[in-house]
Formats: sequence, C-alpha cells, structure tokens
Amino acid sequence: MVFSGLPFLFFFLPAFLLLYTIVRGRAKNIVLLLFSLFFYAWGEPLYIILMLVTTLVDYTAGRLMGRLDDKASEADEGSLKRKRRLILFCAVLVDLGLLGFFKYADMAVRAVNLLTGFFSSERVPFDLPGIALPIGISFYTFQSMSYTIDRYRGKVPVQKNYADYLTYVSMFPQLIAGPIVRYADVQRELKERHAGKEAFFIGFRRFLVGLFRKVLIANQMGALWDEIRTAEQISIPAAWLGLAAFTLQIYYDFSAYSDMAIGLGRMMGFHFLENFRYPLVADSVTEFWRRWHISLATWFRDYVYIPLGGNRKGLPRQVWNMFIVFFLTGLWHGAFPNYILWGLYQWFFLMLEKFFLLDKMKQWPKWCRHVYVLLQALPGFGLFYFEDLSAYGAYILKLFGAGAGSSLFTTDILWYAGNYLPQLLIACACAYPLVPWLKTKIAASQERTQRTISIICAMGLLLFFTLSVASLVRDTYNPFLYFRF
Amino acid sequence: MEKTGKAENFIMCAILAAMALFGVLFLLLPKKTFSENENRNLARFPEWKTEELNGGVYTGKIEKYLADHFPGRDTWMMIVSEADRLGGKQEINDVYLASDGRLIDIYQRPKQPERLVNSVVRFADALPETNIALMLVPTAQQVYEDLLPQFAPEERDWQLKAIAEIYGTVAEGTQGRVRTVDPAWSTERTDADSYYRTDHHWTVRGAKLAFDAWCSATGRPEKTVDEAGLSAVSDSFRGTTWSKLNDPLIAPDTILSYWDDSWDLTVTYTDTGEVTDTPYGEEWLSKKDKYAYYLNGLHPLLIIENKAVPEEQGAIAVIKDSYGNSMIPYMISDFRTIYVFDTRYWQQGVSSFVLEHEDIQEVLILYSISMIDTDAGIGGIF
Repeated sequence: MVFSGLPFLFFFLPAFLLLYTIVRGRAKNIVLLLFSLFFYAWGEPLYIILMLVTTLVDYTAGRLMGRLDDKASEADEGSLKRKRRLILFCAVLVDLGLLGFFKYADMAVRAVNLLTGFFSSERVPFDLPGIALPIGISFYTFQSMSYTIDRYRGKVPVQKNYADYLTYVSMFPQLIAGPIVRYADVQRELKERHAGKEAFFIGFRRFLVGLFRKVLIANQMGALWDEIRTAEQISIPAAWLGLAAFTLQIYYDFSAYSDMAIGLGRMMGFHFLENFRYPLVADSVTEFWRRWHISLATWFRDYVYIPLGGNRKGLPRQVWNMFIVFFLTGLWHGAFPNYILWGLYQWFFLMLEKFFLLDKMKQWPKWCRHVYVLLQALPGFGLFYFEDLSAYGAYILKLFGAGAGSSLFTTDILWYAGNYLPQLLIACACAYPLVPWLKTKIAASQERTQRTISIICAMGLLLFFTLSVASLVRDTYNPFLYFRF
Repeated sequence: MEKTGKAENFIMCAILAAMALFGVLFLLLPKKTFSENENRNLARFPEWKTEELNGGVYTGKIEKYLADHFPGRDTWMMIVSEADRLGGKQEINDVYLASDGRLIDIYQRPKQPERLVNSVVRFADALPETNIALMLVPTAQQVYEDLLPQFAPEERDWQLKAIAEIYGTVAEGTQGRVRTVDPAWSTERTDADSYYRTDHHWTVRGAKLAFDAWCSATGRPEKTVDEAGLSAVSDSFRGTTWSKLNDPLIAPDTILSYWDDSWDLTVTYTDTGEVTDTPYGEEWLSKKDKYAYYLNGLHPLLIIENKAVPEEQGAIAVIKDSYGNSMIPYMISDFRTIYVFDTRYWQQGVSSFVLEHEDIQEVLILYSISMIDTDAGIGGIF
C-alpha cells in the first residue's frame, strides 16, 4: 500500500487512527503492528515471511548477546568478544544473504553470463532466477541490521519483546520507503511515548504537506518527464528541462514520502530524524550529500565508512573507503549497473572536490557554485533513471543536440514548460528553504497576524487536499472506448 | 517550538472526518456498472483468486475498483480539469484545448498501416469485378490545425501525409484498381463546424464534405443538400472527448439530422431482427452517447433499403468504423440497398458476402486515420 492512494487515505488511515486512539497503553503497539503487517501484505503477503525471518534473526542475535553479557564475569574477556563477534557475523550474513538473494540474484546471473560470454561463444547462458523484489527489503534489512550492530557495540540495550522489535522494523510509516530509522533513535519511544493533541496536529499537517508534494508536484513533474522523454523530437532546452523535471520528481517523490512518514510517526509520538534538508540548494556535491537521503548516508557512514577506518588511516585508504561507500550506495538503490555507475559518479565528484575543487570554489560567486551543483546533479539523476545504459547515452546526446530525435533549438520548450508552469514554479521555489524562512518571520510577528496566517494555511490545506484527492481519482481514468465489448 | 493554529486544527479535523466519511459512503452507496459520462464499463469487484495475492495483483484491482466507484467521481474529475485549465494547461488527458474552445483528441501516428493495406489488397483481390473505394478520414486535429494551442509539438499535416502514404501502398498493391478519396476536403474549412467540439467524430456537415469528395472520386455528380433537410434533434451532446475532462463549463454540441422526404425506407438490423423505417435511433438522444443516434448504435450488419430508388441502381456495401454512421444517410438516395458492415462484430468476412449478392456493384471502405492501429475490425475486412 502507498500513502498517496485512495485505500490508504480513506480506509486504512481512518480505521487505524480510530483504533489506535481507542486502545490504551501497550495495546497501541499491537494495533500498530497488526496494521503494519496488513499494510505490507497489501502489496506482497508472501514476503512477510522474509521480514519475519530477518527480524527474528536480529532479535535472537540481540538476545544471545544479552545472555553472554550476563555471564560476562564467568567467561574471560577474549572468548566473550569472540563469541559476540561470531553472533554478529552470523546475523549480518543472514541479513545480507537474504537481501543479496532476493534483490541481486538476477544481476549476479547476468554478470556471470556476460563474463562467461567473453570466453566462449557457444555457451548457454544461465537462466535468470526472475525473483520478484520484496517491497522495502533494502530499507527494513538496514534497519534491522542497525540493531544487531549497535547491540554488538553495546550502544543499545537488549529488546526482549519480539512483538515490540517487529513493531519497530515493520512500523508502516517508514516500512517501505524510509527513512531508515535506527533502533537507537526510537527504542525509548517504542516503550513509552507521548503524543498530545499538539503533536497529533503537527504530525498530520506534515503528512498532508507530504501528500501534496507527492501528488501535486512529484506526479506532475513525472508526467512532464515522461512527455519529454518519449517525444519523437526534442530540442536542447527541452532535453534539459526533462532532466530537471525528473530531478524535481525524484526529490519531491522521495522527500515527500519521508515527510509523510515523519508526520505519521509524529502523530503517534515518534520522532524520526529528518531525511532531506533542501539538497538542491547545496553549493557543493559534498554538501549535497549531507542534505540528501540523510538516513542512508549516515547509515553507511556509521556502519561501513568508519569501521573501515574512515579518514584515520591515511589518504589513500580514505579514498578507497569512500569508493566502497559510494559503490554500495549505488548498489543499494537497485540491482542494475546504472545505479553503481551513479554511485561512482558521485564518488568521482566528491574526490574531485576534496582534492582540488573545494578550495578553488571558495573564490567563485555563490550562484556559480550552485549552478555547478545542478549541472552535476542533472546528468547524475539521468543515470539514476535509465536502467538501459544505451538509452541513457542517447538521451545525454540530446542534451547537446546530437543523435537521433534531437532538433537543436525549437519552440517546444515553451509548450512543455507552459503546460506545467504553475507546478514548475512551485517546485523550483519550494526546493529552496522558503517555508522555514517564512516560519521564522511569522513566529516573530504579532498574534493577530499569526491568526490570519493560520486561517490562510487552513484554507490552503483544504484546497490542496481537495486537489490531491481529485487527482488521485481522475488519474485512473484510462478510456478504451472502442474495446468495451 | 512548532505549532499549529486553531483554524488549521479545525480544517484538519474536517479533513479527517471527510476521509472517514468518504470511506463509509463508498461502502454504503450503490455501485454503477457502466459510466455514461465516460462511456465505459466501470471496474467490477475483483473475483477472489489466491494466486493473485502475489505481487499485489488482486489488491491492485481493488484499488482500480475503488477509484472507479469513488463517491462523486464525476465531480472530482471536474475539479481537477478546472484546476488544470486555470493553471494554463493546454493539453489535459490527451486532449488539446483549441483556441476557439473546442476539444481535440490527440492521436499518435499509425504505427502499423500495413494491417489495413493488407486487408484492403486481399479484399480487392477477392473481388476483381467490384468497384472499391477507400476513404481515410483525418481527425479534428488535422482539420483545425490552425486552432491547436501555440507551440503544440505537432508536425504540420502529418495526417494528410500518412493518408497519402497509405493510399500509395494500396495503389501499388492493387495496380491502382482501388479508388481513393482525397482528404483535401478537410482543408476547405466552412463556417459551420465540420467536427464536434466535444467529440472525436465529424458532424453531418463534415460528413457531407467527405461525401462530396467520395462522389467526385467515384465519378458521381456533386449534389447540393437542401438545408431544410437538416434539423437539430439535440443540443445537449457532450461526446467522448468531453468525458476525458468532464467539465460542465464546456458548452455542449448540437446533433443535426438529415432527412429526405423522398425516402421510402426499410431498415433491417440483422443481429436483433428489428425492422424500422429510419436510419436513426431516437432513443439515443436521451442518453449520453447521442452520436449513436446515427444508424442506431453499433451493429454487425445493417441493411438500408430505399424503395424510392429503382432496383437497377444496385447496392453498395460499406465497411466502416463509427465515422461512417453519420455519412451514410447522404448515400441513401443513390442506392436501392446499402449493406453496412461493422467488421468488429461481423465475423463471417465481407468479400464472400459481396460475391453471394449480385446486386452489390460497389464497396466503400471508410476508416478514421486515428483507428488504423487500434480498430479490431480492420483484420476482418477481408
């Protein structure tokens, strides 16, 4: 199930909120767990088993480590450490094994077929396993692993209640598209949390804003990108507009999902960490990566980069560690070579900045740095879109007026931009931190002004909610007028 | 500390209440099986299939069902269309908003014209003695090209070029034996609308222009139509193009009916066995799909006999999509009998039928250029 769909908005959420408010105390977690399992099963009932296995392994690993710690006095330190490491190793192996099998088996077979193809022309390629990707597996595996690793490091106490642990991993707000919430960040709230009226409304507003950003902006940018991408002929400006639209789509789509997740969490009293902080205003790629998908970047920082030695083992080692992190970041996004290339593309620019560009850029005017980041981001996200690298190459050529289907300069950009003008303007404007800026202005204003603004905001919520629902209802309209018999 | 205002809280409560209310309403309200407005069957509640649970196939069907039967669906569609129009959008749901306010469906260039060409060639080969004419009809997009939104990414005259290309291959395949009706008529714009403003079909005026072109292609003298023969039978027609927007602020079209007092008609519907004395179906005028007034809807084979015409004038077989329906009345005075085939439903093949009926000396094949890839009947022409 997705947040921006009619079943979630008109059945799941009202029913959940009703039940969740009625029940008291520990029962709230049970309600949350049951609804979360249903939420997951809506898209993929069978794979629930997979999630149960992953969580059970990590839960058991956590408990085993707990038992070892209790007996710590009896055993000598060395053997305790060895045993804990063994448990960690086994748990991570199972986690990554499942993730690897269910997400990357096809890719591995394709790679083997490609390599063996070099050595023999008469080989019979292996069949692809053709395994359907379990929804959200990359997210929940990383979440669950964070618990085991933090347990190993002694950073979090043992969780003895499996239902609570499963609730943490499967919690529907962040189950299928992040943010990657760490156990350490919610362990206290898992047991006891306070959600007053205030938090409920703050959370619900955040959810609604996320819904608007998804339905009214991201979906529209996606439609614009589709139009430009599939056009027979496009000019150079239109090709750039297309990539910009896709960049805006992916930013709004992803960050809106995080908005909705954080908002829903807040309504229940959870405080999930922010996942996006206006990445498109960054003035270096280095900064971009401090603002983009923060929960993933910090996960790799804490669980891969730093354990590998981070920047403490000399420069060559640091470059290598960064390479690994961004290779994995790319791979994490999908089992196709383009994602890995995308990760390495980011790594290349980060290294470029580290060794040479960041110093020089200090002398550039701010807008130049900003343009540089956007020019870096656009082709990068293009790579993110095209799983077929030859299609990507063909599109990149169009950016420079070369190749089939390019028409250098025509008026077509006026058509594309004109049709999506309000959405484009809002999307560009809201990619900058206008709202936080307005909020500080409002907070400093008089109470009467604040009340007026609250009324304007309320009208806005109503208007955008109506438009969002209308869009969701209409966009299923696919007339096949001549095929209805 | 972040907080929300009272007005916001009030609206948020209202939104929550609306979410619950629409959910309950959906469960309680009766469900329609067919949407007149959209002219299509609505999704039915999916039949339970355990294997469809995998990959969310079953739940995907439920989501479709939910959207199709969502309370106030038509109103929601209107809201979003109006918002799009206010936002300056000139293309909504594959419809151009033309500068004079008309709605024009966007069609893609035909990708498999050889389907039609092959059918026509085989048909002509099977009937070496029969006069065959082929007419491909351009859509409103071609006819009102100058009214399309500025900067719309459309190649000029692509429909005329596509039609000329198909005519060329048909001529090659049949040694020029099949006569083709030049679509140049569509560029002679008249003051009166030749296509509906809210539907993809042509009006009877557009059909008359095409009829004249067919007359000259087959060597018939041009006929003037008595304006008095035309009468408005409905002024509240909102067609399928309109349904893609569902916006009541867009004015409806008028349905004109052509009648010649000299007619003496027997119209036989071979599928239902019904016999009438008119090529029209009055009852459609009170429904949404008013275009079905012409030839009374869709039928595999319809036989129009005009006893006012001497038998020597013979018969014609017309193989057509729905565009033919409003043109055929103009042909009634030229033939004793008109056999009208819709090959989507007529499965027995037309060529053998023509061979068995000696009175048929002529055939007209009439299709819209927009239907060449999608019309399921094209394979059945032969």
